Amino acid sequence: MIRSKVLIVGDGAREHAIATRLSLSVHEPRISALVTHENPGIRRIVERSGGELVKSGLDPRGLVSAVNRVNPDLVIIGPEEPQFAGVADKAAELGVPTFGVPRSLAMIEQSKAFARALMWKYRIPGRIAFRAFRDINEALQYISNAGSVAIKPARQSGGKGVRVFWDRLAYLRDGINEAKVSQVFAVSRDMATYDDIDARIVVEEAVTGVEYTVQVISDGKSIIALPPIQDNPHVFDYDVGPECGGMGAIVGPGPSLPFLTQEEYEESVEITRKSLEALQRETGVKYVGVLGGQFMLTTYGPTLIEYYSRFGDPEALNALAMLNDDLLEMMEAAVDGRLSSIKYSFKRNAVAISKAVAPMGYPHNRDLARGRSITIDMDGIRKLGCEVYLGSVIEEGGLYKTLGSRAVEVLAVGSTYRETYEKIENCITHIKSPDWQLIHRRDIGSRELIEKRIKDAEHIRTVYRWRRDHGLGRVRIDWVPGGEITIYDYT
Amino acid sequence: MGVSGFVGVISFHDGWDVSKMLRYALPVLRHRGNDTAWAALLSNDNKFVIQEVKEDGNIPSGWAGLLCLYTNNASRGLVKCGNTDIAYCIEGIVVKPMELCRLVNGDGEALAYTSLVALTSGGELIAYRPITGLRNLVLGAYGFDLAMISNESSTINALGGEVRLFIEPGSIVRASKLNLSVSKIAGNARSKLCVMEFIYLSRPDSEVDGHPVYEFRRALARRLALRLAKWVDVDVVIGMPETGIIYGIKAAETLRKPFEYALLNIERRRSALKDDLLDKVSSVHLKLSPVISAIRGRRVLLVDDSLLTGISIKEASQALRHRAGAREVHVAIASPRIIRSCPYGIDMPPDNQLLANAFSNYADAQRVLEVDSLTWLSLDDLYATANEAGIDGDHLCTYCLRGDKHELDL
Repeated sequence: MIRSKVLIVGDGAREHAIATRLSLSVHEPRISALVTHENPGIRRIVERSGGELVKSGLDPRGLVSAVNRVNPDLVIIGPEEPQFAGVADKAAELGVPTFGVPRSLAMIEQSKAFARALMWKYRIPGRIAFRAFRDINEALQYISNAGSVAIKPARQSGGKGVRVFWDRLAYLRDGINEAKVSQVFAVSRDMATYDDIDARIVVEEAVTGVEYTVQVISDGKSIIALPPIQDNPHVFDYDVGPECGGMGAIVGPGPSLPFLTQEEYEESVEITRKSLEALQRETGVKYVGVLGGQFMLTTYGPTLIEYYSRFGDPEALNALAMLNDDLLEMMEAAVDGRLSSIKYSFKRNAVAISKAVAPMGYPHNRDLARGRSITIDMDGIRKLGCEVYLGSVIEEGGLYKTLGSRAVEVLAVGSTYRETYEKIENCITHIKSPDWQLIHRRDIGSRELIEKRIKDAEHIRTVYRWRRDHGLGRVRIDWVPGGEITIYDYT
Repeated sequence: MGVSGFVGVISFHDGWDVSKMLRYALPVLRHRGNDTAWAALLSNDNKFVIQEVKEDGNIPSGWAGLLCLYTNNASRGLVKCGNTDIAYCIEGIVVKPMELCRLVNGDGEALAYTSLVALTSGGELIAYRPITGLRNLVLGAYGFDLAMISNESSTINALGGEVRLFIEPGSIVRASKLNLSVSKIAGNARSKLCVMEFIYLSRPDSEVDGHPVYEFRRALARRLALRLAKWVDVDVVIGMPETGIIYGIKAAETLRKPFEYALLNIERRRSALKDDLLDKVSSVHLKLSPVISAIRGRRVLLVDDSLLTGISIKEASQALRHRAGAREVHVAIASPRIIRSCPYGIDMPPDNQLLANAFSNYADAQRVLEVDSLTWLSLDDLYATANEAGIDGDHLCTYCLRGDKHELDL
């Protein structure tokens, strides 16, 4: 059966991209959306398809009112927060098939401690050592001697707040320890406002390498692995600056990345699949939706950094660009539990680059970034062949007004990185602000950055292969001279 | 004018005192300046705290800061540009602070011979590489937390960071908590790398625009040795501390002769950058403690990176022959003859104090230095080395090495 009335939950560029893709379905669905702000892009699609835009909190109450108004055959949840809030649980209660997971499954994203513990319990490869803390003093005591660590909020908090402290040069430890302490306090402060999970601070062993995302669509029984995509978490060019939601992503040529081997990709898919099975076994609930694994090629090989219980943003843009098939049919198959029987394929030779444009001030000074005007020359961009997805903006007096987060995401598809890179950079020149500075990362998709990634990956590949050949692929041995030997066994 | 070593660090998150890192930039950059460093730190309320720093001295705390060492006191300072205070360190030809203001404000002429790192009281870290490319500049980062800019890439590594970008000539970098931009200033940018950076100025663990300095020196030493092999026969090879050691080791490898670590530093100082003659001789004597047992009765090849006045070499040849009893002292220099003082900002004695200039006749130069033979690298060998390293000869500034009267196209 083809469901013709779809309700999308979410109001960002990712949901705009999903809505756009659904609107291209041969089944011509009527698309409605549950949003907190009136995303002008989503609104236009909703209007054109004869759907409705329901403005409310992205929570069970909002869902109920939206369901009452549009009576959807299918609910699609874009972001993570509505999942944490129980929107999918509510949809199930109302008997509406839902692409997007309930709270119990979204815990794999919501709680970093849960995700790590799950991987250790089921001995899934790609693990790293971690500790979770609620008590700030315990955390402080631990980090002072923990060496190189990543200190994260234990709960997913919009991609902000992770900091990595390299402690490779012992003479620098005083300054670095002070910074670690400040991060523990900052995280603890931020986490005090959430009461939906136990731990507040997660401290992980820091790993270095090249990052990539592997997303799979699951129907609860089988998965479809989407192409590997590289997101770029630093807010500034050349991988400088704070972590943010992601400033752009690349994929290609075809369903691959220039710096990742097929073996490494398959190993990562396998890790994701095993995690998904473990999660279903643990909760007894079927996973219907997208599971995204943020990976890093490290000295252990493919290593899981964190999981997303939904499409990545902006990775969703790249993934959808590579998919040849009808997205609605695919999501239908997922909610019906018949993913294994559908045919799908990816563009063989295409390259896709997505980039976010944000008002200066994003991500840590949103007061500065809010309320700025943006103009977009859509005709100019269309002529160049890019797609534009609106994010954290509303329409006001013929202008777009920023709300403080990533305002616009642009997608370009081409046959080579060079062509696609030039195209997207030209398109972005058509996005301007008359009263503020906009930022985007020029380096994403450039030859220089891709060459650097290839070089970094080759370097790390040599190391992890050596370690695997020498029986150290899944083991780390720490020895304090004259003291104890600690063996971390990752098998 | 003058050489300096500088680094600027800015933090993107609260909780950093960058002075704790900057103090380790001091030993890394010492070879580019005199004994005293200058540091300017920005406190949490964006006030500058400025201090001269001796070795192991305390650096004031701050969330962002600059540190530099220099041969010329005019290479650093604090200037008021409108309402903004700007602390700066420069390298190369000294320019008026007002010109730096204009550069920082984006309405100045593109400087040709001067690089800059500056910190503003508005919390912006700004750096500039001259349009000629003669001075170097590199951007690095530490995790999600720090951005660092220096004129030696090894500083970035010593401060725990990773090199992210070699800044192109004529480019200005601006980093703040809000943004990072690298943009070209209008002007005819050329890429002329200073050959002296490769020969002796940079640390061997640095890279210049991605070209490893060590590899360049290794290749120079090899070519020098191939030249020597034709007419000089020796028993042992010795390197002149500090920068001549690599050349000595690598030349010995090519010659298939033993390298002896037979001249030892008493205290590490850079002699070439000293102005005062007695200071210079003191510095030379502090790196010339001979290991007599390794030298006595032997035919010695002494290798150094460069030869300006010849004072170091003469002192060394006498230490080797008179004190340590070398039978023969041959000298090989891993650079071509330096015959003109650098007009673009590298400290060198004036033309009439350059030995290669004063004694254009080899035999005279050998007699002055009291050496059995004196061999310089040829200009052709230098260019061949550059080519090997992937640097086009046109992209190398060799003004100080060239006898023709033409000024370089800078």
